[in-house]
Amino acid sequence: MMEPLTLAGTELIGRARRGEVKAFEDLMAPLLAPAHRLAVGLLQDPQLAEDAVQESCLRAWRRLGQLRSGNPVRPWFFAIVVNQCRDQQRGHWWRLQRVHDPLRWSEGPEDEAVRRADLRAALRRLNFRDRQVVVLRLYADLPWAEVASLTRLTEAGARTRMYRALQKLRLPEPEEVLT
Amino acid sequence: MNEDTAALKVKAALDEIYQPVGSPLQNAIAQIGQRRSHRWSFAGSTAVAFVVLGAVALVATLGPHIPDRRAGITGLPGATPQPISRTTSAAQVAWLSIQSQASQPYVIGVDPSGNVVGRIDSSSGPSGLRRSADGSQLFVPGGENITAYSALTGKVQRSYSRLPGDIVATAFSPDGHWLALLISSRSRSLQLIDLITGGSQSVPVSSAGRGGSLAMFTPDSSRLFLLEDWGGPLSIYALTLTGGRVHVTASAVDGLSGHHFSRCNGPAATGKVIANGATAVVFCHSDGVVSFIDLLKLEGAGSVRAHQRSPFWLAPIFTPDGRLLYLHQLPAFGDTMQLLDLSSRRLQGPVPLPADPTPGGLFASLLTGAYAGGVASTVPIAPDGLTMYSAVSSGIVVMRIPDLKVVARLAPGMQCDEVWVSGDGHTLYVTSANSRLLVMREDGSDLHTVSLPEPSNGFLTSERA
Repeated sequence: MMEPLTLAGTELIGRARRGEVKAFEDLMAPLLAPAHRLAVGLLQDPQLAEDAVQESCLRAWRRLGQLRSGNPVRPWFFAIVVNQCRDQQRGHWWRLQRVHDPLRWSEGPEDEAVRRADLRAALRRLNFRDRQVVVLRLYADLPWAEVASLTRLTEAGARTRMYRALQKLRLPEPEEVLT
Repeated sequence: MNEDTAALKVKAALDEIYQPVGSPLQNAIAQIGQRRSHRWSFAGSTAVAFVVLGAVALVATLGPHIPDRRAGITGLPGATPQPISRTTSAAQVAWLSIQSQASQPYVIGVDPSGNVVGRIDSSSGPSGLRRSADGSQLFVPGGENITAYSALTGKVQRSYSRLPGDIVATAFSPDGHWLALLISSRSRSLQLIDLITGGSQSVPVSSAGRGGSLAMFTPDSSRLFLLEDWGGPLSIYALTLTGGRVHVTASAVDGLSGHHFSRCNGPAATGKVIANGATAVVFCHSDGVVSFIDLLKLEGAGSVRAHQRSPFWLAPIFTPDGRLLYLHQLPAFGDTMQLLDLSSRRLQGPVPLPADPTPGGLFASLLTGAYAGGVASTVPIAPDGLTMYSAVSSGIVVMRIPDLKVVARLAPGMQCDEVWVSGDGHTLYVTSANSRLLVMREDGSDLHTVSLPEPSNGFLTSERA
């Protein structure tokens, strides 16, 4: 995943903070797709996720002054996305409830699809912090340090939380989580 | 099991609903620019003005090469929630046409619990069956009679006498009281059957036309209009139902006595009475023209062309509030969903459709019913008029009216062919692969399956025009 920590990234931040929208666009461009994927993981709705990323971009533009030159952009922007998803979930939970669980599907070639649907349903039942850890680590492939930063946990705390979340999901817990 | 394996499972589950978006996210930035210019344009500070200029510049920068997929929906009237009237248990039962290998096609009924409640065999085949507007009965025409079946059980309820001849148009009054039959023999007659008392009356209607015929009740069931076109000048009859009797109150023929109408150049029109019975909207499959008729004056009231490449392959979808008409184009000709605002009688332009990998596009399920200039067998709109459903190869897409923004995806991973919404809007029935019928609540919960005896040809619905 691209991380604009380079000198060019630093320069972009400076230009964006001075109001250069093209610089802001260049700064955000590589982050939009992974941010959307992250939002889909948290909200389980591509359109809601798109809205969340859109709102996050707006927030990011407003908060550019809080981003220090030289600091990584991705954790900063992902934190905005995660917060936006949390807010959006509060406002649109009814929509998430609409998303379907084929609980009584009979045996057949769709069994795998059913299992995937069951897992999504189980993810939705997790509290937001637990879901956050699982999605950030297992879906967005973020390093533990970044997961911990985004969830405001220690690394050990984040690992423990994922261990418990996977138990709730009834997925076998990763062996190395607690190591 | 290690972290990689757990990650694989989570990725498989979430990737199934993940749809990568490219330009829409870029477009989101452009919309941010628009919001900024809107929100801050009233502020007077230099800094704010600078930001506004920047936002405008961003929009200008992105505009030429990033299509705004929601641009076509600007200014659309919001959908008006419609009262739910088809609330009887019978109206919640789905009736499906079954294509039998060993016998005549027949229909079966399935209730919201997934139980098969009845079967109707008809010598005339399912194409002759009609479902009442209130959804409570099914009608099978015979040579001398019309047999009414309960939509709750599939059992015969009663029989009505009919005039001899070919039935060229039918219409049920929205209140479930009347069945109108336009019958052609040596002459043409309108037979009106009182579905409550079983009584019948008829009036002659002369017509030079020999082609497309349309019978349309007003929403309050107090008036009926017969329209004939193709093979002769367009003619229209206005009839009223007062005191239980039908009367022809007016008629008009195109080109006579100063009456002028937009003509349909083929025998394939469908229509709807809107604006509290003041206007009829007629869509012509042959040329794609949507014409308006002032029903109070029996005068043509203009027309709109949807500019689709092949109007013959369009699936028209009226919203229940009568304010919008969607016209979906067969994907081979562009997969475009044009939208007409029937209130202003304007073409609003194409509605951006959500991307979907289903062969044939998001509305492929409509094509079977809309084949060869017909009308889609199911109108995939909830009875409250607020949401539209589409059955796709990976589930059901739930869209918001009017902009068709996706608000939910149901039964992900399931191959779905056609969807029907029950009368009260609370149950979805979906034909699926391997002769299966999916039955679920409107939010996708409580899903279960019914194994159909043989493949289905689709649903028998009240909405069919």
